[in-house]
Amino acid sequence: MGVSSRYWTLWYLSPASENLGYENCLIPAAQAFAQNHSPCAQDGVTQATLLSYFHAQSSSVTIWMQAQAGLCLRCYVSASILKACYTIDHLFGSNKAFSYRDLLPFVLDDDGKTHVILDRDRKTQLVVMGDEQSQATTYPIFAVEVLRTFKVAESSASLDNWAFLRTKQNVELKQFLAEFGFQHLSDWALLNRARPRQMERLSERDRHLINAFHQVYRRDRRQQLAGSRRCPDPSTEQLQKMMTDLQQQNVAISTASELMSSLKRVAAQLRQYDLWSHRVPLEVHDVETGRDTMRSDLPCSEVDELDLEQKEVLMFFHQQLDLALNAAIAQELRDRVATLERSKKYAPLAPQYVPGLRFYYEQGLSLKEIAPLLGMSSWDQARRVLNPGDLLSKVRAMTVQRVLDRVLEQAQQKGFAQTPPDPNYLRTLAEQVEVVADQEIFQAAVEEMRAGQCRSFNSVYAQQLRLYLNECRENQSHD
Amino acid sequence: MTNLPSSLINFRLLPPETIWLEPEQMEQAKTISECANTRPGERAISEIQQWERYLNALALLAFEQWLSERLPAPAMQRSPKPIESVSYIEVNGFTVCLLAVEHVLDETVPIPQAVIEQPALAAHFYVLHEVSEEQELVTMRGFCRYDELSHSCQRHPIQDGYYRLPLSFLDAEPNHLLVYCRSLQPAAIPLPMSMSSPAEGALTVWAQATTTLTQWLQGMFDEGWQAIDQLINSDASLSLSTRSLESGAKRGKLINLGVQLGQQTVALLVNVTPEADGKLGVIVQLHPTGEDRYLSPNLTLSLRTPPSREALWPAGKTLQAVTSRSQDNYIQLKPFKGRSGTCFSVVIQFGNNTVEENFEL
Repeated sequence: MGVSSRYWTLWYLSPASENLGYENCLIPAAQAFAQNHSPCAQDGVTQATLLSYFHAQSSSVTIWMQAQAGLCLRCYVSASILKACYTIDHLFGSNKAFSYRDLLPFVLDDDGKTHVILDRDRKTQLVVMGDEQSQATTYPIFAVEVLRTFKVAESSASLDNWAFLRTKQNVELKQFLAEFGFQHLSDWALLNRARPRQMERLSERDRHLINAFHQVYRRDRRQQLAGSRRCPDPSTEQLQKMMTDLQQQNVAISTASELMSSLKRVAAQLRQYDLWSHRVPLEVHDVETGRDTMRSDLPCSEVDELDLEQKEVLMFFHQQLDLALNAAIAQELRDRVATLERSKKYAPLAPQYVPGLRFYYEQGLSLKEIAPLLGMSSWDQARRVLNPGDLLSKVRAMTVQRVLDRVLEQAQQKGFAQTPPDPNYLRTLAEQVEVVADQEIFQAAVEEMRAGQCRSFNSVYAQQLRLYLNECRENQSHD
Repeated sequence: MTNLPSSLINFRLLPPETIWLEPEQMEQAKTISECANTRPGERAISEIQQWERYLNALALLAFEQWLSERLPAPAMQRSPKPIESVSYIEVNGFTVCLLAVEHVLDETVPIPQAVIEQPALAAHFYVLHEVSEEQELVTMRGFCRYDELSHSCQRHPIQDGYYRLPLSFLDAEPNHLLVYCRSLQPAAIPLPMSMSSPAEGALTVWAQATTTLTQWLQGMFDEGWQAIDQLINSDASLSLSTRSLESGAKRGKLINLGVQLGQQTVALLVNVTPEADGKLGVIVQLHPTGEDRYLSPNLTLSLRTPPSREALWPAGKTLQAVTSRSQDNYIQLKPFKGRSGTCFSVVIQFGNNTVEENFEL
């Protein structure tokens, strides 16, 4: 195995709406440099070598070599930055007003076309011109900033983690998150979820305000369950009660409107991501080696390979995959319709489930466009009833489960696995099945769902699903 | 279309799984959290705790829904335990501890120390939910197994009675939980029988399950209780002592007394016999196992009233106790009798280690 292709594959911004918001390409200069200058394929060694070339201050290393080593590292960091944006997206949850695509322009700004080195003090990015001349850049590249501030000796963080931390701390990204990160939450929901960890970063007065708010608002919140779930503004009575509580804490607030604006000001502070996020890299310290190991959710090598003999078992499940997918789609569609029919609230909409999914997967309509066509009251209702993401996730789970059952059976028959199996063995096997199932089926299905406007559904999953949806329609028309 | 290589997305292909709550569930959660509040004899709880209970109830209902849509006919039962900050559910024989938070932006998972360290509160799986109350949305953030958690948590600091683990410690693929529940046996993830934390001292807790002795008379035995000859070598002293036990049902259980005894295991033998007056007679003995002829000295076997369910950790009242001397082949409580339905606890104590078994006649 050679040097990892991460050192010459650049992930760059590509904002066209029909794709994922990014693309990758191979950087030949980086590939040549990484392959010629890295003594061994071990990732840690490669990285250390490239870093030492990039920061070299000896005359034996030309600035072109520095710049090319930098290019390799920028490729490496581009993947970390992309991953960081996905991670932030996931951390904020599914029902928010932004996605990773909105974050990319702030941090994934390297097109790999310039040669960049650092000045001797590691303060400034310099663009290398012809004739080995260099000049300070007017547009510092974020990936190079990550490299500039990464100090191996002082930090126990890996470069991956450092990139994640720096992405979280990017000023423009933070400004964006302050505006859109919690846009889906009312001021009151935000105040409700504030805990000591957030409060310790606020003033004492603000902490008292939040405590008083919790005492009164949360209690009433549990009582006001009917109707809209959006947290309403606190009532005059609630504000009065809070003022009384605050007086006991010697926090003087004279009018209800003054309290109201104070609470809104605190809520505005709570919209800062900094208040919620962790400020240091969260690496798992390995007691045995005394070093920080890479977080398991950050890029690392593939799942442990099973023994060679077991690979024949894995071969077997490739054949099973299509079979399992078809069975899973059929069953999940049936189950979903049955669940809707049992539901008091959604039973009348059960017959709309299949037509709704056909609008989504055949005509590429959005849920917002579908809702009125099916007589649904809102986007929220269409989302709850149709929920194509949930269907995909269930089909994936069931496909993996079906294949896993067969593979496990085989493995047990051939004596590779105990009966019942060991938990770690079971998980490794499940991960193996997932990797193949995702590569062959589900990754494409997830990505086409994530793509913006003008998307089209061409994945194996979408094709199979359409076949079943058509079959359901024909069955219905025969009934 | 440009695919992100799977090595880069190895955290999870799909966004975290979400469960939308319906108004009925919000209403139920309110009822569940208030029910807990009106237990007799309990102090009024603070608004903070009340809100926690409400969030926990929402997570519980969401998890039940999620499971029922994914496991074919799961054997599912809520399993109340004397701890406020989490809830429990039994699924196909596995104990699942549900943790609820309102966000994971700090990428840490707060886990109460007690739910890992106290045998009575330990669970096979710990599942983290993020509850977004205003949005009626619960997000499954991941889970972990007891064996991995107990192994790893010592590396993390304890703050205010909570371990704070990195979010990345959790398995973000909730399907693995389904895989475990379908294909594993609960015994594959052993739960602790003893406590070895010196800080806990002689603290005792309501053990995981109560063994119902009348069922023994009908030939039904709980997991872990084995025929006596499976437990101990049939050496002379032992056969003598067991022969003295009366008829009725007798079973034994291996009790691990923890590291301080060099993993010494003892056998707790219980014999239950119907008496003429309608009561049940009980004999409790403690024996060495394996090659050991004698019990370690200073092992205490005691009979207690069961811990009270009202407050959090009150130990029961000790009714009788016996302590091993330097060369005891076994020790025994004075035989006692009780009516069907009576609860009692048998406590084995050595140094700071305490193991408690709860029984109902």
